Amino acid sequence: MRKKIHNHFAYYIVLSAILFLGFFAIQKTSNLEDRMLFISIITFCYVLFGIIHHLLNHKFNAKIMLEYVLIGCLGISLIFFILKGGLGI
Amino acid sequence: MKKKLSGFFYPHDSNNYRARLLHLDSLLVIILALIISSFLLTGIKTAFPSVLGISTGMSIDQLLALTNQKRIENGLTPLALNSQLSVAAENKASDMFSKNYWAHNSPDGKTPWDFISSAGYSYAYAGENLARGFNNSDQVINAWMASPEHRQNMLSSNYKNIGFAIRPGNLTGEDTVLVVEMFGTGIAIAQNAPEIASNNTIEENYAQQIQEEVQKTEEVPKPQEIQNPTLAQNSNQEQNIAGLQTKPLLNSKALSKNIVLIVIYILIFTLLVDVIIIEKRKVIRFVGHNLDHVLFLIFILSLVFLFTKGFIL
Repeated sequence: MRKKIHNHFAYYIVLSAILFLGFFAIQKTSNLEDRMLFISIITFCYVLFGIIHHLLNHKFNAKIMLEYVLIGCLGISLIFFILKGGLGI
Repeated sequence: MKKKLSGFFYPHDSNNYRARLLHLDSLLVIILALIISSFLLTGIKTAFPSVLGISTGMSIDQLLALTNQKRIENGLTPLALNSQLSVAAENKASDMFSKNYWAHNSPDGKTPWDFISSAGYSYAYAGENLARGFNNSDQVINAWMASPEHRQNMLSSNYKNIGFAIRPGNLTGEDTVLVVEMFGTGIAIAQNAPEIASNNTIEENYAQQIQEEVQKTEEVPKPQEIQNPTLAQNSNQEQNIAGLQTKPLLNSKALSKNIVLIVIYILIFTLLVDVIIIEKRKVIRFVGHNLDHVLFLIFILSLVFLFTKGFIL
């Protein structure tokens, strides 16, 4: 696993930077609509970045693409659950 | 049974070397379950508010005791709970909910001092602290103490009286519990202690107006005897506070937060166990990077804490 991380070090750094900057931007925004827009953009970037990385460096198939899309949807549905079910927004 | 259960979290030949929880159909089931249950929670909240709703472990007694404890620790005299300041705080909270704003001044320009004056409290010094979205009194007091401006209000030697309001409701589209803390020193007290230091945070010093106010107060009866319309609302406000004490069985915010945290922790645990076992066994498979998903779930986890934390103003 250490070798794998080492091989894709730049990829993980860029992905972490996208997520960290995304969180920073969301934290600085107080408007809920803007926050949801940022979350959607970050999720889209995460899915796209994962797919592109697999296209360029690994064997790519529809199942991998679907996995990234589903994990992205899962993240959004977790936030939706907190906002709708918990906070009544 | 044990093998079936472990197959949910551990990769082996029976689950095609991928923890069952991470299979695409399982992820789809979790997504659908979350969406359906969020609507279900909303429905239960509306239909059975006594079962599920916004509640808090806060009380005015606790807030007063903790505020005074902090003051005593810092060598200051404790504040006395004042019914007029509590009425002012209640009126401010009602105004915030009805006009849907999160600010010291209302959209129509009403200041905290207007609420204090209209509650019949003639002040020489006054201040206001606001909080929302906290689960207990300790969290509120600690958050105020951590903020220099709010700390200055709590530890100001200018103040002799205090009033609180704790009100649940929907503010700026979010179900929350609002806490209003009003500080004050009556004109008579301020005149007896003219050496009080000034506080330049959310506090107003009407030193120049004191003489005018004193003349007014000389002409009107004692505060207890003032026929003030805001005091007439006392019974309603007491009912509101009592309503808060008969809190729902389950706190929707805490419940949803705990469910989401459990789901995220289980998924992160499963993803890490899955990748460690596969790397150890050197199994070749074509799936996404687990570490990508872990990083993304940590991002979502951070957002959950961001959305559910309390705010002070």
